[in-house]
Amino acid sequence: MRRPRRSLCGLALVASALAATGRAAAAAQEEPEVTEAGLARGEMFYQAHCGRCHGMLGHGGEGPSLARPTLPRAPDHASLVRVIRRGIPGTGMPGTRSNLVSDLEVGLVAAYVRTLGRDAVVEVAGDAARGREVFATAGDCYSCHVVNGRGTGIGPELTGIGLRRGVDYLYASLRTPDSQLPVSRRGILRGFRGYLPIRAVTREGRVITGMRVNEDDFTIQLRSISGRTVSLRKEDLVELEKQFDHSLMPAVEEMTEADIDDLVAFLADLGGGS
Amino acid sequence: MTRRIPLPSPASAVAASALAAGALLFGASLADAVAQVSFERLVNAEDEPHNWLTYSGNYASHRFSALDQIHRGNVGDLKVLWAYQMSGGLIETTPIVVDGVMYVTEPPSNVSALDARSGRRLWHWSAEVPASTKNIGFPRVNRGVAILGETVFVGTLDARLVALDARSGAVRWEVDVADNDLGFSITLAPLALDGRVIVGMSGAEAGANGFIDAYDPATGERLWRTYTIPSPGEPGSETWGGDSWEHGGGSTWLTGSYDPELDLLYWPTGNPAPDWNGDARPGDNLYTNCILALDPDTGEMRWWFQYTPHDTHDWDATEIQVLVDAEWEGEPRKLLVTANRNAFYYVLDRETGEFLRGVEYSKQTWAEGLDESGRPIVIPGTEPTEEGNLVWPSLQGTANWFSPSYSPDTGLFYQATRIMGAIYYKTEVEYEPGQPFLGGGEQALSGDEASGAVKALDVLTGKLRWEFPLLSPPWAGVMATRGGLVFGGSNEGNIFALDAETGEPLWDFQAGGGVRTNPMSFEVDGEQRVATAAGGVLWVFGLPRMHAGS
Repeated sequence: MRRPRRSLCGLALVASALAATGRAAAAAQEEPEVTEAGLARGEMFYQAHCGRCHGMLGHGGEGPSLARPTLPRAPDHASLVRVIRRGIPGTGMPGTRSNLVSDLEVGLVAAYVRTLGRDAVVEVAGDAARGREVFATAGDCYSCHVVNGRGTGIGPELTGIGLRRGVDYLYASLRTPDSQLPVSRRGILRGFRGYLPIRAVTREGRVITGMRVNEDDFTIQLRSISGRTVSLRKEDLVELEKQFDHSLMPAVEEMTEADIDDLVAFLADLGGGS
Repeated sequence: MTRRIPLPSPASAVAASALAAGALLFGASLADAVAQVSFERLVNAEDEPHNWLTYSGNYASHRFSALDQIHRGNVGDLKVLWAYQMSGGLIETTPIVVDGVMYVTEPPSNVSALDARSGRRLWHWSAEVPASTKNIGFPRVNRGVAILGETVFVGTLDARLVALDARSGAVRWEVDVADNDLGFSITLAPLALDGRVIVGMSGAEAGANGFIDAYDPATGERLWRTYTIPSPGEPGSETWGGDSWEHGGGSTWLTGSYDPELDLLYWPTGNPAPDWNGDARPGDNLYTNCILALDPDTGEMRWWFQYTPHDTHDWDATEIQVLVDAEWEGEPRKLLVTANRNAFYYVLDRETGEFLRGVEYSKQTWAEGLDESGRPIVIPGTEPTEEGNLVWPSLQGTANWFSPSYSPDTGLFYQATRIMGAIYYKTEVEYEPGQPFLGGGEQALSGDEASGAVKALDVLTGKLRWEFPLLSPPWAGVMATRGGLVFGGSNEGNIFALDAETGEPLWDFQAGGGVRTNPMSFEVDGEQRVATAAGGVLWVFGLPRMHAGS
């Protein structure tokens, strides 16, 4: 090795601990032993790469809370390493390129993430069973959302939403939906804001509003609140407004705090979450 | 036995006979075409705008078509005339067209000759690139062939240079340029000069050191090699700390330009290695991120200019270097201009390498500007960090491999521009042969947080004349034409034509797959065509009235 290597601070023990259980990706079910320094290193990588979605404390956000005793998609160390490395296709969870985070470091991030559930499990205050009622009645949520096959597909499908979003995010989606436009992770305009409200004015003065479904440099496709698809050429418009700070989802102003708690408990449970 | 073949119905008889009549002429011209594409023809490529003889259309890399049959007034009528389905993979190729025959590469490194009138294959050569071939730091693409005499030259992903008979696709010779096990690879279109074929290589992301090679087109014998990273004791070696030069990168992965009058070859170089961790390589890291002016006979370096010293953002200078002759402060001057990946537009004197002007042409947050010598005034704290550091542009830069275009008619330099920031990370790294040697990476802003534009810059001042907005940062180049048009493409599958003077969109076509290549133009039977790839398809457009032969 001609190139002098700067040692990774205090990781020698960890490295040998991981090496003892084989390659990190193929590590056995047992927990690797990780030093305090190793966990600190894992926390640093967590905050740099994971915290933006899962929250700096792991309590969730745009991504789900990791502060739970058992992660539904990664119940043990090996499966968590696998999820961190490969990501979860069709969701916002990306894989981790080996040039950004080495196998050793993925092992440390996983070890750190698994401490989150031991420390502070996020408590959900409400009653999920009652939340199901609120969803159907006071919330009238099925008029725009599908859950387990029931409802109308205007807004995002919420089947399994508890696996994808943190509790804080769910609260914010209900109270201030304008700040919570999700990022599209499906095949259409991947990485762009989904359900983006659009206000277009044609040359004839007709005002058209709806959610963006797709867009290119010359056209834009909208879905109106009634579910109708509208196809527009940009050259036919005199105004095209993208309302990034607006959502067609109504805020739940007329609900009680208890209703909201229950609704969040119901949503957090969808997909076996919480 | 003779079989009488039924011909198409009377309804299309007129078109068919017109085609047949053309075919006779065409057959004759085909035979002539294969005879010779001499160096003189390449030097004077502008005299035969019906052909497209080099990667960028001419040695000066203008990517400008002097054809004007398709113009502002009729471009709205453009239609697909034929499409060619390519083998799977990303398509970044620019076809070469010589008198009715199109030579085009397909992913990863295969070559097809097509009838430029119909799109039907005339021959196909498979490079048989092994699945195990390494492509560290770039996709499995190829950008095109070179032609000289009766021979077509292609570089392969596994770092071979292959000479093919232009008539049949038969292999004339094949040489190993470098060892793919160490990460060396070729994706660029070679450049054919007088009695030599020039190639560069990819590989800096594997810590492979760059070079530019010249080969004898007749035999494949290597005539010279010029390394981009100096060995200890050589000029420039003082810009590398310790033994960091040993894996210093400096790839040469995009086709250079050539001035036959000065007899100078201009070749740009890529980033130092490791990309995002510069700690082990203190200094300017010459000759990475440079433009090198080389003697094409010996490979000797006549002058160099470094765009981004001690780069830690992977901002290769491997963008197309455009040669322009213009009046500069009252005197005719030979210039070299480029829109660099680092967000600055440069004007240099191409006889001496003197820096004349540099201006920011797209959003950047890493430099206050350029000093009098063209050296960037770097804003402290913009290097990658372990925690991540948000900087514009992203590692893919504001420009990249995809081509700009220069129109002598408008005096404008057209650049598809990426407007995108990224969070840059630095990590520990140790060199291992044939493995990624990166020292970090980025998380780019995406979706609605990034965008793009086709920008028209005054070629001398770099001042923005107009811009056409793009939804996302483009991967497609542009081509200006004498018809007063600029052709381009988008990630969302739009192929389009803009007014070269104003940027106004005049025509567009949704191809159903992202555009990731450079447009080019040629003529068949006296009719202008425009070709560009999108998705897995090479699309060829023309005016329908003329296609019907009426």
